[in-house]
Amino acid sequence: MFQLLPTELSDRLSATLKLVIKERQTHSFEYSFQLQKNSKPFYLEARVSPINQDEVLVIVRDISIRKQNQETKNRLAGVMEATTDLVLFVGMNENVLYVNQAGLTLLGHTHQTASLTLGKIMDHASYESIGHEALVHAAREGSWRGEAHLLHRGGKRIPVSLVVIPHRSEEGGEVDFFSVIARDITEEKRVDEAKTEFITVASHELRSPLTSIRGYLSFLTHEETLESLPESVRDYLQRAYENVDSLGNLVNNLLDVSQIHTNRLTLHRGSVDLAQTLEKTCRFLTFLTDQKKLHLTFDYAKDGVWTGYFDGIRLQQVFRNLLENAIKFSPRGKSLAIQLAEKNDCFSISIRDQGVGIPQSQLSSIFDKFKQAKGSQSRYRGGAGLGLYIAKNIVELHGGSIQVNSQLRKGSEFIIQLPRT
Amino acid sequence: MKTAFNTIRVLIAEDDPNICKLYSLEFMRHGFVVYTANDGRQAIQKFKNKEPDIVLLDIMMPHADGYQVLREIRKELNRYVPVMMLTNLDVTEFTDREAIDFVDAYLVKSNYTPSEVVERAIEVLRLNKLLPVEVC
Repeated sequence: MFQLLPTELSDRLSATLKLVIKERQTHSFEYSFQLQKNSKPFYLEARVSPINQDEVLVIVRDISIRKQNQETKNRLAGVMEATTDLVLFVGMNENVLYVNQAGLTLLGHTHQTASLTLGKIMDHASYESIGHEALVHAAREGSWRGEAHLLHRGGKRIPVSLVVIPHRSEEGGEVDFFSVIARDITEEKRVDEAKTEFITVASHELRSPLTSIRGYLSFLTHEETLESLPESVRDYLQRAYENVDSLGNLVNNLLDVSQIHTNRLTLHRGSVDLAQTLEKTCRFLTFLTDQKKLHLTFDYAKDGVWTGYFDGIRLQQVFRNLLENAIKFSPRGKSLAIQLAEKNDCFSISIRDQGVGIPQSQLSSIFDKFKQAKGSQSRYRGGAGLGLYIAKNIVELHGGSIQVNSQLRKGSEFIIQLPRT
Repeated sequence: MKTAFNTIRVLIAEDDPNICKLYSLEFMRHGFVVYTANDGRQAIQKFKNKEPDIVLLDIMMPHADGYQVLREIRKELNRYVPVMMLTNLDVTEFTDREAIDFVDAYLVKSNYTPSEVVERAIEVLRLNKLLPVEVC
């Protein structure tokens, strides 16, 4: 009978049979073989039990699937222990069920400890603001991603990026436990801070000479001084003055971006009349619209109440940015329409131009930092592409939203919604 | 018109000589009496000796910074002297956030021309009843 089997298996079977007959007790062994080279291996388990004096029972089972599952499990465990990210499981009661090696090292523990909870491994402020919230959100939405601070056993705060995933024993059932993957982003944070610090210092250092250049140029462009100068010199001065102005704006924008980046851009809210703010912005820009013979209209119900609790200076910055863009990209003689209206619980401000428009493919990214529409049709040529990014952040800090609709060569419409309260 | 300002004393505390001269020229053009200080210590001294009606105060200065000067100025209890903080720091960069409650105006220098600064100073003087409203 054994002749049918591969030599090695038949040898091992004979040996086991002898052993079973001699010792009169069950023996078993596992054996794997491949039908062809490079094919999936089969796993067999052979179990030999004595029945009576001269009979034995041989059971051979295919255990390939069990073996494969085992192997997968071992590999996963291997990965879990080898990865440099923290991986941990946390139960519904927020008790930590398991932490991998990298996690133990990150948190300053030498071995698995039963007493860890989510509250103990997170920095207090992080835990208060997102600890529970992240679990609830993950259970509802399928995952949660964000940043937080973990707490080293020695008290050091560790900035991490976090992913929280809920696990259920059956689909649609209650959450069994959560897995949490955390990556230490100390180094990234440090580089980020150094970058922001550099921008801040550089901007301040740039502002001093800018103040002088702008100031002394303004002396030369005083009306009485200008009159005594030849036409060409006046033109040169005007150009120099305009460019110093743009340089000043660029520096301001860089500072704003570095503040947005570090969450330091804060609003100084007060009672602000949006109709008045928009009127003021329009008045400020009439010299530009006059230059291009643009027809600027501002439409709102004069008897309406347009007052809200906003940062007037920051909103003016947003309106000015959007209007300057609209003016810059409108051909001579076209119309520019501003509308202030009330929609549901929001103020809605629409700024519509008949300019070159924005290609559909670029509409979604124009509010991104440093992103500008590209190519010859570029709506946002000139400037560093920071204005809209800042505008979006300021509007969102107010709890509002900003949207854009555009048709190439027909024009664009920017719509800002600001909550009434 | 300009003679209306010739009784108003302005103290400009600014360590950058270019900017200091810039503002001095513009205030003098409008007829103000101008005193300058190139550092914080000098600013405190001139504030006491010259009794200015308004102070233009830079923040980052040698010897004593703008905050320290401001504290000294606010120790004067017999009269209120308006202070305009003129700096190239953003409000969010303020290391001494409370100081902003004790100043009458806060301007980022690079965003204003000297004549706009003077306009603002006149506005502050009016609000503090140091100039009659109708004078312009």
